[in-house]
Amino acid sequence: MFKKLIEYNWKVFRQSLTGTKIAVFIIYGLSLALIFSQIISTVYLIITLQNTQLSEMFKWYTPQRGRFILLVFANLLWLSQFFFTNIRLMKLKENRKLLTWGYPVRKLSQYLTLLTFLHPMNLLFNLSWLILLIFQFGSTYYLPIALGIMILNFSLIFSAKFRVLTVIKNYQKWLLALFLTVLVVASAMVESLFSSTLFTHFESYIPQLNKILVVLPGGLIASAHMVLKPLLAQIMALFFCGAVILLLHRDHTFNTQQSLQILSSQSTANTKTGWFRSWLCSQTGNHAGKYLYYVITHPYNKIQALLFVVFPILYVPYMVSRMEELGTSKFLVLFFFMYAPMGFQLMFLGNMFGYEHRELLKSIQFPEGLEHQLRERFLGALIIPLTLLVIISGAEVIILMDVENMLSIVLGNILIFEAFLLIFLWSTFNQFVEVEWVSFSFTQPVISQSVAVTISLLMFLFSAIIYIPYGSYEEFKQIGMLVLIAISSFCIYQYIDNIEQLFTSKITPDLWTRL
Amino acid sequence: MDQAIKISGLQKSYGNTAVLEDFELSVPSGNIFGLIGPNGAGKSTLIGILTGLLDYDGGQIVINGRELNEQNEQNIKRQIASVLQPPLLFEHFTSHDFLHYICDIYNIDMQDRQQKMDSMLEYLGLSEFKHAKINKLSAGSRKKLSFCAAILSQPKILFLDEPFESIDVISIGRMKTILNRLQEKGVTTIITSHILEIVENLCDDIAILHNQKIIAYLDSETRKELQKDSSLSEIFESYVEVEKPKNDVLKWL
Repeated sequence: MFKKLIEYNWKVFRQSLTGTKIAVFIIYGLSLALIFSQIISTVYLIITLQNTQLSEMFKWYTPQRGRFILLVFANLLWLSQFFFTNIRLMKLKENRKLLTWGYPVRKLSQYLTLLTFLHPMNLLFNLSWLILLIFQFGSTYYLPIALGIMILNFSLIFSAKFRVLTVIKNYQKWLLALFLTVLVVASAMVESLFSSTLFTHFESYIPQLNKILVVLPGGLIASAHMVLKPLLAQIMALFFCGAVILLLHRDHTFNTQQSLQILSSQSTANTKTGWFRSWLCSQTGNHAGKYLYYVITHPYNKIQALLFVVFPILYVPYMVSRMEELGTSKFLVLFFFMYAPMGFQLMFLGNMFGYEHRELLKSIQFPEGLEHQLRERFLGALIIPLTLLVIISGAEVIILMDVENMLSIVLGNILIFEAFLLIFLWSTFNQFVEVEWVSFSFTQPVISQSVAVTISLLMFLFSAIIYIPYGSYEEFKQIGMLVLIAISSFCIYQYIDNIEQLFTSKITPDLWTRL
Repeated sequence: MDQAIKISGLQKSYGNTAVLEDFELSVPSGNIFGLIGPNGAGKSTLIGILTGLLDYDGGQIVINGRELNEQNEQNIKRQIASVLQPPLLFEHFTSHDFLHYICDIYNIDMQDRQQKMDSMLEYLGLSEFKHAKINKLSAGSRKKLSFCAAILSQPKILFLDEPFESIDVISIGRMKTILNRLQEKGVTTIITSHILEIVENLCDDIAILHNQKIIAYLDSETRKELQKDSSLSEIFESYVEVEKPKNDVLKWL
């Protein structure tokens, strides 16, 4: 039965593959391989440094500092795992159909829960922990206990994340207010924190910090080898892990079963965001307003938007204060600066026509020109990213005061913005059918993790090419960027000019056949 | 009699498959017109073309005296409304917001729109779902809401594709009352449905669509004659010559 389920899901996956999707998967795979190799090499380096002979080569290396580095790394790895663990079940909608053909619901729930373990992102973190643990234990003889710890950790994260997301979903407004408060305080403190005497007397804090770090989840896993080497301890720990894993698995299976069986039911619950929609429509027009309302009120997008803003706010002030030390890595500051407008561009334009799916057919029936509707929607979607681009380019000129490279920076920003605008416009035509109503659910985001990771990697590579100064060839770079900007501007103009024709020739017939 | 819709030589195909071929049809103004036919006959495609959702390959369509072309398209769209199957709604709006939005688009007078909206919702039993999100409504409520939106846009021609599917008997009765009221005001309604009893009772003229063409046009006089001896269902079967299955084809059952 499990084999049949895998075969069925493989067929569903294979049928959903398009040229673009294959490309995204290849880049996503490469990104994951890159991240994995980075983690493993860091693990190797940290563990090898604990070796006495090597540590003698580095005067600064003391056992206390070595332990501190390991614990910080382990806790960061755990935090990243918590953040990136994918709790999304495989094609729930497709698999739900199996129930009508007599597939037992309990078995299906169990198998689907087990399959989440095989998600590439989840595998990446779990394998990283396994390798770290084997390194720590120092022998493959400890593989069973390492596996037990790894699975227990994954199950705990899976359970905790599911509940955290549910809480976020229910208490969004409060959490948002709390988060913003912390953010404002943190960003105000970030500079003073790094320049204070804390770092001068850092050495004396390390033992205390280690005591805290070791009891955090990552620290506990990284220190497991200290208490679990005796055989009896291993047997007891394995028994404990097994029992907890079984309990958690039952909990996951129950949640999966609920998701499989619960279909949306009629509800009279009041929703009072009508004023916001009316306001958006009055400011941007009926069509742009409706689209913006959909994008902005989507719960996943709210969190995504927050991250796009938080990330630069936390890192940029610190990096700006260290510009001199950064050298050629200066481009990272510019990369982070562009993170917010690009993130919002992805959010607003990534699926401009797929977002509402067949609702668009209703709009086509309205007695207003389709071209007018589509242009209004396109310009509406551009408002926030474009405003951010202008603000950020201005801020860069003021903050960086890099008169020499000012032109290059502004041209670079425009080029990145336009290049990705073209990518998103292209994808909005070719990938729009991918969006279904289920995409509006919290755990099934419109922009999948694979697409987000791919775009981030592309942006990073693109930034590296554009922002690194070319010395005496800088002028050639500027001319090159100008030419590329002219070409992309022309392509965007062409796109807007043909928007109606493109729409009626491709999207309307596709939407109609899916009605 | 004026023609609300006049179609001549209409051609429409999907790839190499012709759906409508040299299609001819005239619908008199103020008529409740039934369009029936077996599955895949092209009824929905025809509604799609007439409501401006689908392009067609050739022929001429005249709606309320105006040819359906790029120049007249918006003017024509202002005069028509539709309820498609499945209904097209804005899933993340509330019922109330959706109707407001439709009134905004069709420039319905601000002063009496609230009263019109409330009375429509109440009449069709949707008042309690006024502030609920549309994606939380049942199939029947969604269909009724789509019907409300179509009526509120004050159309001269109304297209209803399977309008009574999933709807309870009481609401069907009320929808029929609304359609009769609209007819008194001169509104033309085109209904496609597989529930022939409803078409039989509600419609004036009926056309049978089969094999890409109208194979029978039954005006009210002809219908009276034919229906003396047989029901619409029997008349339909006599026109649509479907090959009868062999007697023993299901003997395994």
